[in-house]
Amino acid sequence: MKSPEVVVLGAGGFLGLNTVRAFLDAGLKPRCGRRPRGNVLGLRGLGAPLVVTDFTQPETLREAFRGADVVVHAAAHYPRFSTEPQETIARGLAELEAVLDAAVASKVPRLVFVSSTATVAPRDAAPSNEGDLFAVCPEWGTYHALKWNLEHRLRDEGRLEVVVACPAACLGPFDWKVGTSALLVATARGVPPPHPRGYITTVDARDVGQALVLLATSSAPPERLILANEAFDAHELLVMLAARYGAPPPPRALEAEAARVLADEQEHEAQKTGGRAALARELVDLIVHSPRLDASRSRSLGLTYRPLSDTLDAWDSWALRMGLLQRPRPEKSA
Amino acid sequence: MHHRSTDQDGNPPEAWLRGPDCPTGAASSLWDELRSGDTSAPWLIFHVGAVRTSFSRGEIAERALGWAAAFQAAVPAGVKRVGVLLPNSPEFVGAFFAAQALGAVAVPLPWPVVDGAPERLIEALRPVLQRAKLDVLATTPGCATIDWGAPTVTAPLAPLSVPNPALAAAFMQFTSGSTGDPRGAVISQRAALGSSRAMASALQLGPADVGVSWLPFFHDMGLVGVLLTSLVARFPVHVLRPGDFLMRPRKWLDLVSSERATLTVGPNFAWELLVRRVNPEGLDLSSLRCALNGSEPIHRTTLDGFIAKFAAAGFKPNAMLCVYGLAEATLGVAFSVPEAPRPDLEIEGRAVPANGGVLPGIELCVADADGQVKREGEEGELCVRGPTVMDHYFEHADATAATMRGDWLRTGDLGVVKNGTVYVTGREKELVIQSGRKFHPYDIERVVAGMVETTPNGVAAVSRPDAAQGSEGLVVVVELRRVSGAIDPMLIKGELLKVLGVRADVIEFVPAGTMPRTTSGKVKRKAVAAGLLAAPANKVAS
Repeated sequence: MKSPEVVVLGAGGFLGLNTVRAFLDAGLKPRCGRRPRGNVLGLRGLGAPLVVTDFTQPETLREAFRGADVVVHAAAHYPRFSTEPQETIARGLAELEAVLDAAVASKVPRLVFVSSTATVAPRDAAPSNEGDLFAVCPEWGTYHALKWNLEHRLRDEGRLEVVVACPAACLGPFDWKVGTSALLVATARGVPPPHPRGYITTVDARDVGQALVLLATSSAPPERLILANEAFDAHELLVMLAARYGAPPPPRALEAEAARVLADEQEHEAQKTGGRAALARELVDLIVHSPRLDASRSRSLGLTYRPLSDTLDAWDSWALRMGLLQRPRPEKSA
Repeated sequence: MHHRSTDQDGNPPEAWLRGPDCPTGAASSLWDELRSGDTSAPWLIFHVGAVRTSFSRGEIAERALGWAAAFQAAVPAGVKRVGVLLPNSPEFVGAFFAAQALGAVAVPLPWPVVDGAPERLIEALRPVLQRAKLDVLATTPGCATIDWGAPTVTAPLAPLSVPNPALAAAFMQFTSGSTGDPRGAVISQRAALGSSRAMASALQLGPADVGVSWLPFFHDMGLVGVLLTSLVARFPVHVLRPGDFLMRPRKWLDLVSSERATLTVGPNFAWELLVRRVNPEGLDLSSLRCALNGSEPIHRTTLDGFIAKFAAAGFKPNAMLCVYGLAEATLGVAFSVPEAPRPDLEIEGRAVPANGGVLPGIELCVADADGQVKREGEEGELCVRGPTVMDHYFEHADATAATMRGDWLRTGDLGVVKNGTVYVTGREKELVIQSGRKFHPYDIERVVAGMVETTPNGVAAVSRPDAAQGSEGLVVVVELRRVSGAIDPMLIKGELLKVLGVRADVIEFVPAGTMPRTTSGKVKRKAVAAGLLAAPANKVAS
């Protein structure tokens, strides 16, 4: 049987690179979509072809998608700061529309879209599953609002098959922009991060890559799939990380409102100075509004999740190479 | 309204206030007002991210003529009513004034707080659209794909030559977002201009002022309080969208600070959000002379909290102004002004902030249920008359008859008049006000009753004060036919959000026979609310 032709958008990014590697491990050589000025350091030497996919130039998307069976979209827009909801949503939707139109024009039958557990609505009494999507857009933060808008748009798409993956907080190698792993970097550097009271559900980015391969190649994938491993109290997770890196313990968890205030102020300052917020608003909203997740559907499809200690080991060795970790941690204990 | 007989016993005078005459101007319609005089100065400045786009009155008029051409093309037989379903944008303002240019009635419709996917929320607008009998709907391309039962227009055409419309009503304001029994207050040109001029006059607004607003234009406070008041007083307004403020409250004050705004407006919850979320560091609010708080019950703690916190940013205490109005009076009824601060009223140990004196053109009295005017200091229903009161509810004679007593508008709000000052003390009408948005309880009850097996009339939606949020919480009490009939409260909360866009704080299930009712079997919502405040109900689950 002919192997499917796959395009991975955002191939040079955190999830993209883990996804490309998962495809290669599965014996498939995806086309690696990259933005014109995107970082492709991690793609060099993998042997997968690079194609320029510029969301403002639809012809580059159509060209990249030509003859493809699946587009895996791991390049959905999210800015560095959560300060401009209206602009963020508008750009996110416009880029998604460009991808959808190009996929339809190039007769691609399936799109696998990487969304987020931010779109999973909480339940009172039980963990949330794939059937739980916010009925209307959450109004508490830009990240949730954007992700909801993108998924909502995809639910109306009738021109091609759409499969949505909802990964939890991703950790693992190749987190170039230091997203969730900002918690690790700060802790390991002895600057324990401020954080709100709430929960973090983690998932290894390599496991997400494997899940995306499954969703891209399965003959009958589910429409929506939660990808989540272990749930931690945010503070307890940071205590554990501090012990792992021989770092001082984290400060007390902040109440939600105090954390929002701090994050907003830090982003406000960082925008002015060009620096980085020690606490991102996106992270606050994710921790505060984290639902309990039921990922049994993904396990029933044969997906497995690495324990957090494996994930951290892999991240450590990558981060040391990248200079994100300044010294080897004293002992492995997590 | 019945005056009391002459009183010889030294009792307080009647609770009856009369403002000065309503100011007039050369223009007799909003369309004329838009185009009169020099129209080239910046009027509306829209902020989207770092991009600001400025429009003068002349440019808005040009845009309106483009929309008008498109409306005429869509409905060659003539346009009487135009729905405007758009976010805060030049498009909204253009379409609104296009209706004015054609002598048609504009019907602003609620747009979701967060842009992007409004279809689901506005599905619930169908009863409003049917009641409004729209000829055409101005909206976005995404919404135009929905079958509204009327032609949709999504973009202006080449401008019409300037029409000369017959004067009609200016717009129709639906008094809650969505409802099974929609009421569209018909606002005349005279009322629209009069109310705007009265507010501008009371606050002494003029071209030297600068406004900042995130309020939605479809809301009476955004439409009349901001858009039309700035139109008649000729001052520029910097416009944000509601979602920008709700997700990043600081943006509001940043804009006030950077643009040296003199006027801004918000419901109490919004000021409370600023108190809780925003650090005054780096802000300069010294230019603000009118910070209006209205549209929902006002909390003294919010006022004091804001004044104390933002004194460090130069905010002047007498700039915080409590105002009272309602859509049926076009908007403003009583306004505090910076020059004349008035004391709170102590009622049962509670400090009720003063809403100031009545606006020009407004006559107000406090009356009992029979229309007998009360005395100063006595609580009763606030009743209002004057040139800014609505004509009627559109094609709803019953609701009009129940709301108007002769030419007096029964506001449904409770209040007291003392020393020429209006105090709003509570609400006779049963309404849930959440973040400035108004919902009729029976809409909420109808949705819930469709989901759960309840006793007849077995759902009560009531609000309760939520001091922490500076707004009101919604409690839905469900009387179950069978004790085992409770369902996951999240399902009910989700459905209410989906259908009405209202957030329920608590869903409470109670066994049959425990809901307070009238002898005819109707739910006594006030008794339910009082019971919630007094003691936990006989709950099945919550």
